[in-house]
Amino acid sequence: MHELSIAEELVRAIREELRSHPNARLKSALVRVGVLRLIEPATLERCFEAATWDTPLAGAQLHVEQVKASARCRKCDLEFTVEHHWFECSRCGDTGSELLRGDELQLVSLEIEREMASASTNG
Amino acid sequence: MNVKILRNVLEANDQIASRIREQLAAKHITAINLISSPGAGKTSLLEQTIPLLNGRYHTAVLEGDIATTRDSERIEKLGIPVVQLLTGGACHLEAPLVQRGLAELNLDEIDLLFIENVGNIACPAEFDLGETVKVGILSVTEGHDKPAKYPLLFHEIGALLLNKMDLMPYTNFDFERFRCDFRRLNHDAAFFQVSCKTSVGIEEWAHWIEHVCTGELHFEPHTHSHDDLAGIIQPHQHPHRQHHEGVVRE
Repeated sequence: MHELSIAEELVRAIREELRSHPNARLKSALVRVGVLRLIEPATLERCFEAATWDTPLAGAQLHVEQVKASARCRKCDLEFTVEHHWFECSRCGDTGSELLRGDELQLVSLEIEREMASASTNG
Repeated sequence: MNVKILRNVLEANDQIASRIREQLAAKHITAINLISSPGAGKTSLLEQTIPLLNGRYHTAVLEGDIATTRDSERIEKLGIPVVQLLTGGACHLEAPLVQRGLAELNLDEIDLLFIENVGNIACPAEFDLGETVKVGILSVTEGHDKPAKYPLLFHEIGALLLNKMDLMPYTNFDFERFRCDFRRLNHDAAFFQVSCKTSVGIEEWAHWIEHVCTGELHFEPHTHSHDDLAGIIQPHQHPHRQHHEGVVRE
């Protein structure tokens, strides 16, 4: 259940980003999550809802984009998809490999709209 | 309006962790982040290990717990500086709390720091604390399936201790299955079979710590920082580790 810890960090990151967009209301946020992070997208979305409740971000949607894990074998150089977190080369069986992708945890983009009242007072 | 961001979600934590790492490096302090389930033997391991290192290292402990000072009271008996970090509910330590803990210690008088994380093998793996290396403890009574079920931690650690080996005959722990699952997740980590009850394997583990302290073993921090603005996913920096005699390897 580390999704709640991550949702709280996510809210903090989004609020920091929104400082350069005063008078903006967040409609949605897109995060990219590597499968090795073991984050359940639906759980993260629910935790985000809980973490934004009673904040200015309340009501915003979280979209989670998952990234498959891949690695390169250090022995035979094959690039392979990491299944079940097993870093075992599908060609030579060696377990020594370099992770290429799959451990991402990135805030990718924010969809925002101007709050009409504030926007008009700003001219 | 769509605003492109691309920042690491844990950036606030990771920035402080980087500062801690710089601060510790400047003071030549090795920091070991100990992670395990509750009851796997983190505090018992420290009680066994610290006396072996006393005399050669000035050790201190940051003791992470949700509540109570019971663990720090146990460590205090060893006569070394200990700071209790209470998370007040959070199931893991974060870099800002560690930074506050470090402020309580005289860093000029320390060369080895143990950070005992909150008992949990899911969340602590996510949060960089600026440590030199993460070390996992698994006790045989937890079962051989834990690496397969909690792969993130077992992938990230620089060493794993299999504790409570004295209880092995009373469990159905499948050592071969465990070894196979763990090595599929982590090719390089050092591995020790220990018992805090009988002291088996503790000397080998203390020996390994000395090799970490001398810089013979080097670990790249897992910061998960992917702040590349072009959106190109950077290759993961896998720890560059070496092994020495005394480390049980397959």
